[in-house]
Amino acid sequence: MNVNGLFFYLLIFILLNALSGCGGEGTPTPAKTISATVTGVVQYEDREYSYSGFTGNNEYKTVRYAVVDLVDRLGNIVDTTVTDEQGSYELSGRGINLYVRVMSMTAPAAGSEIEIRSYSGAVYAVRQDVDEDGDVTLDFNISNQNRMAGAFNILDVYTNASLFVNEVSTSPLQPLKVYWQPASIRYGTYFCQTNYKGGSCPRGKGIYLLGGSDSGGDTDEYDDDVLYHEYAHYLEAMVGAQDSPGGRHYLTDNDSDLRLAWSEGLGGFFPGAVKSWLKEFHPDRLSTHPSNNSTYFVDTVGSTAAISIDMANPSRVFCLWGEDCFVYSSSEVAVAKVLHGLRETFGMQAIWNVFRGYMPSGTVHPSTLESFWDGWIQQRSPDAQELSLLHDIFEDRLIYYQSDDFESDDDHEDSRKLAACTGNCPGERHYLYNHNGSDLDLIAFDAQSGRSYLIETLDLSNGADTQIRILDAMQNVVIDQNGQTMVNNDRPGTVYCYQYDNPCRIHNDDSMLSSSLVFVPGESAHYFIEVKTSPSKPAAAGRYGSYSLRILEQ
Amino acid sequence: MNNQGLFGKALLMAVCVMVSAMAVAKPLPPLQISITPEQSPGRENTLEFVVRASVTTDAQNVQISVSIPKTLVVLRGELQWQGPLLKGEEKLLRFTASLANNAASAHDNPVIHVQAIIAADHQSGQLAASAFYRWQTTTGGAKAAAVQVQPLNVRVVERHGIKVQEFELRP
Repeated sequence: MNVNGLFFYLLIFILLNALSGCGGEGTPTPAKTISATVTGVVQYEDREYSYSGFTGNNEYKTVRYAVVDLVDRLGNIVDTTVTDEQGSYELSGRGINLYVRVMSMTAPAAGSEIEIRSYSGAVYAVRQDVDEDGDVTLDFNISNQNRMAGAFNILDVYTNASLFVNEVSTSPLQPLKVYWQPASIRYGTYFCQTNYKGGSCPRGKGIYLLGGSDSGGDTDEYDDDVLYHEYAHYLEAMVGAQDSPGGRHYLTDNDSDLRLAWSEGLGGFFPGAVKSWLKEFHPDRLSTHPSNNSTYFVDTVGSTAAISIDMANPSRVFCLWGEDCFVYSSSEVAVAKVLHGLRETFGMQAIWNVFRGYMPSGTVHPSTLESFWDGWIQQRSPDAQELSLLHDIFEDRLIYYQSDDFESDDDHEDSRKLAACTGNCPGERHYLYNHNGSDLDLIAFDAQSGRSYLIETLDLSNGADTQIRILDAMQNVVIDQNGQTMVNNDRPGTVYCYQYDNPCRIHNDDSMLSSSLVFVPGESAHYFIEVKTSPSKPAAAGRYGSYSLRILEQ
Repeated sequence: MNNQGLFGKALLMAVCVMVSAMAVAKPLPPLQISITPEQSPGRENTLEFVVRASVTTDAQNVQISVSIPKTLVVLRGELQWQGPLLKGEEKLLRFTASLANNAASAHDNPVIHVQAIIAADHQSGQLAASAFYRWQTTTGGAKAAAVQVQPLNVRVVERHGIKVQEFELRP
């Protein structure tokens, strides 16, 4: 055989392989030209869950707004369309060895562009061959025994979320990329805020989800509440109101960074908001057992619930000795409960308007429950009745954005005095709050020369970070008998990082950002204690907050 | 013996550490639990295990339980505990288990599951953490998949510059 003959045979071999679909696996399919109109319904098998985990009840749901292609063996798209709300599609065309593929991505008809991708960035698809000419019915029933059904549940949940947001928003949603890979727990479940690609965010901005492993491990593709939670973070980033430092956070924490508590509280609230809407308007799209309250947040590991908590009515059984630990603006569950209270009383539109219209651009302050409150007051100028309803909702979580009982005394001319006490006295309760600016509490007291007074703020909550100064009658800062200037920000010996912190965090607990002074007056006189939010407060703390003031005679 | 339990714990810790400040993550239950084989007491196919549970918040009623598959026999030790746990405190359960006589030929890798739970009633929900240890028998059955997966024909193609991972769906 000469060189030309060899070349000819080689060419024939390549052409035959191309036509017979050598790109696939297994036995090559013989080339066959098909002309068909293909119709069908695309469904995936969902998993129902309840308070305690997956119930074992599964039902098929339609795949809405997904991109569907008719493709030939060379990869050419012969026709393309999008499934409708009933999951139906129709495609027609002619080509060699045609097949239909359903992609794990939506077209804009879904209200936003959503793509479910692998960690390598590939969009998932399921495909079936078209075997006949003419009118062909080709339904896709993706069983949950097939891990690809998980990709379509993620797509379905985020379609729900997008439709929900489009009910209250007039702005178009930005495209959403979700990265999930079956049998991979390489990256965890979280939202990456920046376009930087690397570390825990290998594909840059987007939602990353746990995919389990061959030997078990946590997987989140059917944990709808977790999916909605991460969608809330996507919304924050989209509107430009994401200020959380991120990182690990525990549901029972109530000393969190206020920015984190807000962000995670929004994430705890959002699933219940979407599911309440679904329950009213699209109950067939819910995956929850009918007995489940919509406000329940469930995260499963295996088939049982690792987290199961009603965000609108959190149980005290999770807290020590039955105390309510889901309180303060530094608790994500408290923030979620406040938002549910506002939604039930004033509706989702009011919440969205403040979130979208005020928090990204209406304030220089970071996104916290405080700035949400500011936005609510500015946008709505609530009357006395609305203000009363607001206070009820916030006070239920021990959050006091209001004047305290002694606010009218903040005047050095005022005659009311706080008496020094001995022993274990509780102190006088104050709120640092002034919606027109920063609050300053001025409390008068009498002190005797040569005696020692411990003046301190204690029982801090709601992100309070106090600074105390002792002033004389001329409102000058006092230097006491020991030569000490009577100003204190954080009490001496404060340790800012707890042993279990990773990374080191400021804790909005009852004492870390409190203040204390030992005052030994040089002369008996009428003095004033000035308490205000620390001018050097960390970003984790608040502008507002609650504290008690005590003068302890030693 | 393959120390898959340790591997799982290490992987989980790595995931936690990797969640950097630029990522906002899902909430965690305020409990952790792990199971590790500490030492072999010298008998063949016998291991001593330590279960460690801790909480990030003071908890009044924590329940710890160990589920032993039928292919293992517990020789001694504690398999459950209930009580209060304080933040930072660690509760340890120790037990010794051995492969049952018929397990070595069972083509099975028994899995010990452990769970710590702050339980409420049906309506109040629960907060829980779990872990497992997969005991590799010498005859070593294949690792069981967490979810049974249909055999799929998979290939990667391109669509308008985007990679598409196609899974063949079989009726």
